[in-house]
Amino acid sequence: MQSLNSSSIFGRNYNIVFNIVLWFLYYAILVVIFSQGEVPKKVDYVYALSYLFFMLVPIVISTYILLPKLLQRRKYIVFGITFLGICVLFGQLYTWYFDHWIDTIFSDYYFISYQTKIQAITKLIVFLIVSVLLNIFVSWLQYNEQRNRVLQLENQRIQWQLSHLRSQINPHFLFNSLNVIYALAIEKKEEIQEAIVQLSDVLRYIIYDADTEQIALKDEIKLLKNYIAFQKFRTHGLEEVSFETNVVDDSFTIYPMLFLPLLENAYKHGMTSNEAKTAIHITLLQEGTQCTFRIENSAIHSSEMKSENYSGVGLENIKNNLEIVYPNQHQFLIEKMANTFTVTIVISQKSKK
Amino acid sequence: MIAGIFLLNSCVLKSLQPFYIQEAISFEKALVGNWNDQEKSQWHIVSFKTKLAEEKAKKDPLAIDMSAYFERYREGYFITYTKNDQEATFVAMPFKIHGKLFIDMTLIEDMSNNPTNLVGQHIIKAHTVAKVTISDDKQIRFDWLDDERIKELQKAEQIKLSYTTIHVDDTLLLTATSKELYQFLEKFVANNTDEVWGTSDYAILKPANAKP
Repeated sequence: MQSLNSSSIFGRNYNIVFNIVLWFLYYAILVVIFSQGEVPKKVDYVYALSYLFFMLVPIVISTYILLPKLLQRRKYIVFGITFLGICVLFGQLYTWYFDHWIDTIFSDYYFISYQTKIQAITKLIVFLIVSVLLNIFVSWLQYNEQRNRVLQLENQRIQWQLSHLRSQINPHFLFNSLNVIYALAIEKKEEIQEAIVQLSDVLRYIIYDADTEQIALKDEIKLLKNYIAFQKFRTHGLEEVSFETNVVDDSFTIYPMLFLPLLENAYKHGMTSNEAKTAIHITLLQEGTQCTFRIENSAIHSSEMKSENYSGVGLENIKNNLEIVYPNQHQFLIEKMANTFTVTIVISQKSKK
Repeated sequence: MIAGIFLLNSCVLKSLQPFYIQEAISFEKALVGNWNDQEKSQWHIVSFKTKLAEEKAKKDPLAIDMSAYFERYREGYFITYTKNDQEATFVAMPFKIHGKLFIDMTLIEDMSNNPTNLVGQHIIKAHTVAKVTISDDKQIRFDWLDDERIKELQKAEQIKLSYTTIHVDDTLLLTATSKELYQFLEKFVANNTDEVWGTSDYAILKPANAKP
């Protein structure tokens, strides 16, 4: 049996212990069989030990060579033929061993009324089959443990990736927001108080509420509205923003901050376009187990599309995020038209939460 | 009760099955004849083939049936043993182990223990085994195997040979197959000297016409 590592319960140490216990169990079974229901005598222990040594070679060959080299590599026919060959070969060796060799090795013992040749060969085949099946079972346990470990590592990797993606949003958003407040402060605008409150709401959401697996869709809508309101201070109302929502179930939940990066992108690229007035149109529809978010902004230059590192969260990051949190449960569509750039996210949950 | 007298107080090893296998049977002509043993008992030993031919010649339906039954012993001997005017008949099969001659004996009939009467119904016809030595002066010696040899091995826990003990007197009775018994004898003969045979029961046969 191959070990995964020493720390695993199926590691090298475990395999040694397992094999010692297994062979001791085989020996105990043989002693019970050969004592034929009576209290085992010295002759029974010696004969059982002798038979155990006889079985050692074919079992070791079958379980530690044929099993990993042939059976686990799906060479079933070759395994079957080889296994049969071992049975025949050791059946013949049995004749020589128990008819001649054993009397030479244990000259003082009379191993007479133990078993016929057929019984001995049958026992050998049964032990061989049991050993192979037992090792298949252990291999299956090892495989499961290994798979669980891989899944555990994969899960850790995803968690780290999600955490990393989230951490990419916050600093950039904060940076932009502080710039806005800074500008309002320089101009000594009265709106600065309102802006700070809105920023505070957004940050509270990002810091506290967003640090969960799921969040109510209505809270996410509130975040987007706060963000839009805050952006008005930054853009001085130069943009035309529409946000249409139609949510049937207020308790519908989604992964936190799923749409905010798209809104950030729309503002960033819309503001840098050559259009005099930025237009951003958002629709958020929810019905049943489906939620559709669509955001359209004015066309952007291809050169700006390439500068993802400046924009903070790129579309690729959003796509990766969706693959992790909604695997096979989402659609991510990008439409690049002459004057508009549209992104649509459709989430289909298995059950409504 | 001659069989009882013959084996009484002895510790001869007994078995339900013969001690030989067919492949080991080896007819020895030298045993045929009339003999007297050291206890002045008479031994009339004939080839079983001869006995079968005699029975068939009688044309007695019962004898013919019995002769068919005894076909399995045609390579053996029919022994009529007489002591103090009491007679018993035995079938004896000669066989060899490692070139040495042995004989398996079992009772056919004891005149006093006729199988049709109540006494005869209580007798199990066990097999015994003896080593046969034919000396140059035409003496024959039968040395039976003592059951003490088996008991010693059992006490040392060095043997696995099927047996049982008879309830009434704890007599050891082997229940192993003939193949197993022969396998045991093969190793026992190889492991031991001739002295382990005949320690309690033996018979020295001299030709009946020999002068004392």
